Amino acid sequence: MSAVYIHIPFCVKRCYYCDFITYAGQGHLIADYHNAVLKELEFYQRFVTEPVSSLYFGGGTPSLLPALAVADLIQAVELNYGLNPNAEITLEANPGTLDLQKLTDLKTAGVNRLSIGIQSFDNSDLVALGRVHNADQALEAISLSRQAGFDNLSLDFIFGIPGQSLAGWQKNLSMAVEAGVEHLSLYSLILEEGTVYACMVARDELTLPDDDLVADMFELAMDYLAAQGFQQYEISNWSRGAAHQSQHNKVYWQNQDYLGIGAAAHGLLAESRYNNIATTPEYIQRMRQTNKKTQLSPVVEETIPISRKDAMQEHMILGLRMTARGVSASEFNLRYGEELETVFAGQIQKMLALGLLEWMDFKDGRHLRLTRRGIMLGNLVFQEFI
Amino acid sequence: MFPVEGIISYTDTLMENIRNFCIIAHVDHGKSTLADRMLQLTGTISDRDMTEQVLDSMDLEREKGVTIKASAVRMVFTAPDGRDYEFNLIDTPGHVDFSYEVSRALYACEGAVLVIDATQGIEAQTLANLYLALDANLVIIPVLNKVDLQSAMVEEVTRDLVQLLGVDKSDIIAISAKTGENVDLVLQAIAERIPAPVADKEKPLRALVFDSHYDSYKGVIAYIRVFDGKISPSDKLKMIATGSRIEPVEIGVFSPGMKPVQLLEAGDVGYVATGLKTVSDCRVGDTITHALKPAETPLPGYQKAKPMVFAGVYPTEGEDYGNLKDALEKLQLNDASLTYEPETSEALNFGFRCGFLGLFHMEIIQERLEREYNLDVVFTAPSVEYKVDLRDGKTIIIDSPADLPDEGEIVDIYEPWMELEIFTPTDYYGVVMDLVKKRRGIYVNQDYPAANRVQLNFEIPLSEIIIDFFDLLKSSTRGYASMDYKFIEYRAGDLVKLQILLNEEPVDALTAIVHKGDAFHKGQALVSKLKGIIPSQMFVIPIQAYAQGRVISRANVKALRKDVLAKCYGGDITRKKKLLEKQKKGKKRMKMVGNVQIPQEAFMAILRLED
Ligand SMILES: Nc1nc2c(ncn2[C@@H]2O[C@H](COP(=O)(O)OP(=O)(O)O)[C@@H](O)[C@H]2O)c(=O)[nH]1
Ligand code: SF4
Repeated sequence: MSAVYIHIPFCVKRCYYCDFITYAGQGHLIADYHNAVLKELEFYQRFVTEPVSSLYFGGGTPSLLPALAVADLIQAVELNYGLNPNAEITLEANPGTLDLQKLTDLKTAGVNRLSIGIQSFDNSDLVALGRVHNADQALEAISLSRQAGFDNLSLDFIFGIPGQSLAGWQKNLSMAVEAGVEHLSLYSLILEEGTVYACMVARDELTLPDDDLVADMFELAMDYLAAQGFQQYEISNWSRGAAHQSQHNKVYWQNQDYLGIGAAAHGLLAESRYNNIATTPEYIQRMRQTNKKTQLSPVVEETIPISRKDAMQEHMILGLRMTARGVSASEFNLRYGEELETVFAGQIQKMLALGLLEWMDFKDGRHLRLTRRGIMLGNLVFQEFI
Repeated sequence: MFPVEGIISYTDTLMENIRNFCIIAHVDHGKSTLADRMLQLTGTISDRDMTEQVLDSMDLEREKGVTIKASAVRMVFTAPDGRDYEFNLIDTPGHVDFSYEVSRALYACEGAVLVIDATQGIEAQTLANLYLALDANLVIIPVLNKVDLQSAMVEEVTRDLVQLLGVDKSDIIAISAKTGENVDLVLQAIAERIPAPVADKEKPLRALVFDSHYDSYKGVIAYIRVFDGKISPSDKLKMIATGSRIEPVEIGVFSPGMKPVQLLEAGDVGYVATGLKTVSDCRVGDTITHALKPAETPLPGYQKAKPMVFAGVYPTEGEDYGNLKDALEKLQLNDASLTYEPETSEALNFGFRCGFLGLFHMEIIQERLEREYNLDVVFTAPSVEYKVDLRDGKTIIIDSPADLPDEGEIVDIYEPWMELEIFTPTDYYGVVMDLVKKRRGIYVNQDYPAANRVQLNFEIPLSEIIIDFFDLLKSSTRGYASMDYKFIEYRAGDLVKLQILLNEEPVDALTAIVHKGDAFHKGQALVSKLKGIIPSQMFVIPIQAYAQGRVISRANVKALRKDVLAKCYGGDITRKKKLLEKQKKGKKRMKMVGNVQIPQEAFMAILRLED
């Protein structure tokens, strides 16, 4: 194990489309939460055998944590598990929660990659999404990050925002490229249950852009970014050069173990997926009461054992998300002791025939990956493998 | 069967103290509630056990998956003068499709309590059942119910009733079945106004079957009214119309559970446990007589069950075929009017062609399959039975539009026409007229049986009212109109086959027979409806409507361009997998025709062309 995820479930205000586990108005819990996370990190000490090579603060809005708290948590990781000197340490940050001092302190604390939730450079998009920041703050966040010395920046964008045009989307893409960042994550807006958006749609107060426009936006991004020297290494992720791919996220897509810490965090450990309880106060409460000797984490709510069959299925639906490398036949064989072509013979044949999958030759032999149409229709492919 | 057995011991009742009656009412006017109050007041069921409406509960008890219904009950009523009466209350089915069954139940009585909801007034079913009761020469006791409610229009409805029945105002009893107010007066009126049965115990046995249910131990239980002669448990019996032989397992009365007795005689209401295997051997309306000393003529009025409306019924999941078959078999045990035979469709695979008395009967069966048997089923658009004269001189009968031969082979197509009565507040006169005209209905005449109410009589093809008509009638009259219909005759019609082609392939289960003048409009409506229902798939799917040798409408379902989960990180994997599984399952539920996936609801699309 070499990857650790720490969930920070605090936000200034909930965005209209957001169904992540995060809470607004619980700022007073941050200090207690911080202590609870320290305790949970300690709990897993005996399970971790190698130094950590990727640490990810996700949320929520991790940039709401004081820089000192982040420093403290990084130190705790190092103390408990060891930290590889080249480790990727990412922190998700939102414009409006950053200033130069804080960014500098974060850098000093050891954070070496920022993932900034820009979402759009257009104020009307940002209002439509219910974000707390405006376009100026978005641009400022990028330049301050550079000033603070961050040389590995990723920006998040959303497309298919109500009211967004293809031209508006192109403008966002151009500005993102101009900003000269190393990595981009572009997500098509999904209507999730229980969000403000879902409510508005149900009451006919909101219409989402039509499917064709959203498909056009996705294709535009693929074509434009390719021409600008970005590689689409995952369905929603682009980087300049392989070195800037997200090391941490690749752990997920390669179906490798990782530790999830914090309220609502998920992990994959010892052939089981687990998830922690989602409510922050209860997470804090349970961590506070725990005595060190318990065998099971006091905050784990559910553990799902992953059979070999499950693992192979998940290997496919995760691995195929990596649009450039796909799934390596030899890696699959090495890991499960069975031939990829045999285990999923029918599925592969069907998807090849439909033009959704293709075989490509790599150094270690054949890789199976999504075609361009397969990227657009990924779910049709993934469904075959489950 | 009922929670209480034998609270009351029966003394021999004088013939002159027997009262056989039923309660007739429009749905929801309070028939069941009134029956319950009567059972309580007469001590037939103790208050403690009076938890559910006894007469109305279809799911009264389940025994090996067979539902038992109670449709007759014996009560003892002690009048204020101290005389004991034996009351036999006979239940009548509530839907217009069962007017034959209602007529047989009425025939078993001497009187009827006509219940009218004072907040609603007279309705179509009130009238339809009243006319049946008058046909059967029953004494009518008019009762105004729900007078406890603020909105009760006691005076208006009383006036309407006086006009309708030609009775005196003082003959009408105003009650609240809910609170029990004046229900004792209804009991007294039954004793006073309804005559005792006229019966001859010495004549050869004639007993009318007015209902039946299947019991897995005792076979078919025939609910009977004995008109002439007597029955003892050891008698050998037979059914006059079907010829079935019966050696009774037992005979008895409903008190309210089944209670065996040693003798049933002229005037009595009770049951014969026949040991027969299906209710179709023991049809409602048939006459039971002695096998050795039979009566010469049966009681009048017997008719064979004749399904009028047909639909394909298919399991959503192919593996449920066996369960569907079992369910239909069990339903048929208790329902002689339901028919079914295996049918195969290219689109829907293996299922059954089912026949129903009418649209309400079909709805009931659909609901029971889903609710009682937990089956997920697809009903194809209902069809009527057509008679088709062919060029080669033959006449064929078809009940599935897909079976209609090519136009070139057809001389004439005949379809069933109905007499349709619609009863509505006069405000909706125009609305109703428009609706019926749009459906090829012909106005016959009208009548004003009550103030501000009009009864409109039409003739209309059955095919026009089995789809969507009742719902539209209800919605366009704010629920105020009610209707009743019965068969008149087959008439030749200008009818054509309307086919739907998906990806150039005709889909059998989407075929319809429509009036020539409607083909274009319906074809268009169906195509645009299907366009909305069939989800985008990997390829463009052309939809075409085709009639009389040409395509009359077409549209394309666009190819699916984008369907991919945007985000999938560590936290989501289990959830995202579930999402994909759900999507996959949804697809599996669709039916494949060629390489096109069709959602189940597409097969019902034709039912909702108007909206
Ligand atoms: N307020 C009031 N409600 C009643 C009365 N009689 C019946 N109801 C209600 O009317 C509804 C229909 O009654 P029900 O007996 O089921 O009608 P049925 O369909 O004719 O058997 C039920 O909700 C009853 O509770 C009454 O006298 N007063
Ligand atoms: S900032 Fe991110 S996590 Fe917080 S509410 Fe908005 S979308 Fe959700």
